Amino acid sequence: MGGGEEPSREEIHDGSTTNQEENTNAQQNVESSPNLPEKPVNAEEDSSKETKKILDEKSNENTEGTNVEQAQPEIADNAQAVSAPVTETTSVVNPSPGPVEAPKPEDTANKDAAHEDQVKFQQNLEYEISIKKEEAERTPLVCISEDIQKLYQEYEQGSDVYRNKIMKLAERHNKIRRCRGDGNCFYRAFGFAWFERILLSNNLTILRTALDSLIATKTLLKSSGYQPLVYDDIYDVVEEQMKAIERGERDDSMLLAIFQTDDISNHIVWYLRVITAAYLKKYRQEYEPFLEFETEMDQYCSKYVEVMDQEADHIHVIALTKALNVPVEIAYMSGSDTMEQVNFHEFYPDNEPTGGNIILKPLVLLYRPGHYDILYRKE
Amino acid sequence: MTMSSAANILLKQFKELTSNPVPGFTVALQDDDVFEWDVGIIGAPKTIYEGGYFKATLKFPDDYPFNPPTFKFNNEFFHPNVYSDGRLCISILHPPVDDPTSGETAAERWNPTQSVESILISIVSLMGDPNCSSPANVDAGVMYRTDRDSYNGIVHAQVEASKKDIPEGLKIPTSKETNRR
Repeated sequence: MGGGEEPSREEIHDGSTTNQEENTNAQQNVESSPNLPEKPVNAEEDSSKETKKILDEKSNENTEGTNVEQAQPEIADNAQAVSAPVTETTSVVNPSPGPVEAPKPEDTANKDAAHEDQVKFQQNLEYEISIKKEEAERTPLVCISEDIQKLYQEYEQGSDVYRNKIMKLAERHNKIRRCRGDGNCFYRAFGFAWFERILLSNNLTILRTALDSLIATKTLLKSSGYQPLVYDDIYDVVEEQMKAIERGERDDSMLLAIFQTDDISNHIVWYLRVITAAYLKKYRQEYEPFLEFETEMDQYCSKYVEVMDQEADHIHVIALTKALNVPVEIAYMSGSDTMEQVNFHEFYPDNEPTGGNIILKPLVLLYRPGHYDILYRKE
Repeated sequence: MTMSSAANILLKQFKELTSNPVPGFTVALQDDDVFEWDVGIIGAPKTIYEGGYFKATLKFPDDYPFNPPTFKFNNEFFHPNVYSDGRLCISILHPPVDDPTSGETAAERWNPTQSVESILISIVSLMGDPNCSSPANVDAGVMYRTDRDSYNGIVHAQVEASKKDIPEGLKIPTSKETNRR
């Protein structure tokens, strides 16, 4: 798919990796493509197609599960960050490529060179990460909600495919709340929207149901092999926030403040990650076929789910909504297809709507390639 | 509560490790600071490290467990994965980054589900089974692969030198006694 878009992804990688050996080449490469900053957008679009394809496949009881590119979200995420800094990465971090000087026993010389490359590579990565962080940190972890017009304005210079879609979206949605694009945006958006929904419902049944679901996750984690020593304290932080709502100690601005505080906010994000991982592990037979390269689920979780800043793929969304029994609707918006309609995908937990579950209206998230924000539906 | 959760987690893990010690290492807090631990690695019996006791410092960041601790031997430690200043280079203590070249074979990186115990176990296992593909100490890496006798000789000298650090009352297991639980 998207034949013309494929090379751009390679270019991005070229820029950030080949410089170990071909310092100058890589640099030229990067500099000779003035439009590089735009390319990642293409790469992202590609990934969104992929995501949609995955979604379709899932519902078709697919046999091509191995197609799922687990690396997709990272690429999209990377692309965002890499766009501007690539050139700098190459030029700043490698002041001297430093050829091996003194004649040494061959093995040592090779080792030296290899080691030097390794060190340089590590430095490049770290530099790239620091830029990525700096870039992302300009946005609060969770922002104040804005009129959906703001989203429209973002594309005023851009593609009318997006503008048309936003117009459509605005028919039923009036607000958007942005989340920082740090790789945790799905979990953070989910977490905030969930807590906010509970808070604003002012409904004790909803709150108790949510609290029960949360408490039940401890059993889930344990049964999936996590040590209580590792997650207990983090769980406590999350539960405490839920209980503070119960005690009436939270209003919407306080909730926002809490989600903007690195420490508590990241505890919540990470706990949602472990819930997701625990669920995927518990139902590994169902989800393992979706992993690329026949990756084993434990390994997958330790690399892509339990780790902060790793983007969520669509099986993560399924897992989290099911584990917590929280319905989510996601508006998928990309500029790659010409349909004016925004596709909504419903992630509903499979539990029969019994008890309090039915009362919780689905959280609504907006997905643009590589990123999640929160949407608000007109009442 | 902000700062305390990292401290809480560390304190809990510290208590757990002191009340149910894991064979192979000792832990103590440096000046009662839960973010800085004195670690003693006990040379495993039947290995070249038998009889040794290697002091090291485990330093935790404020946002532990979201970022990994650092591990540093207090004395020089000749090993392919230890820098000359004693810092240990081990994949699980590297921050989780997208490594475009690593592909699927990438070694496991830091992840908040690691506990101090699992870190120390990984370190002990790396001591006996160096990763020579990206050596922190190139000479040690080369020697390990090409001249094992000399390598073992240097390690042996370090084991002997380390014995002065054995705390009073700590029994270092040897293969003759095989008194490991």
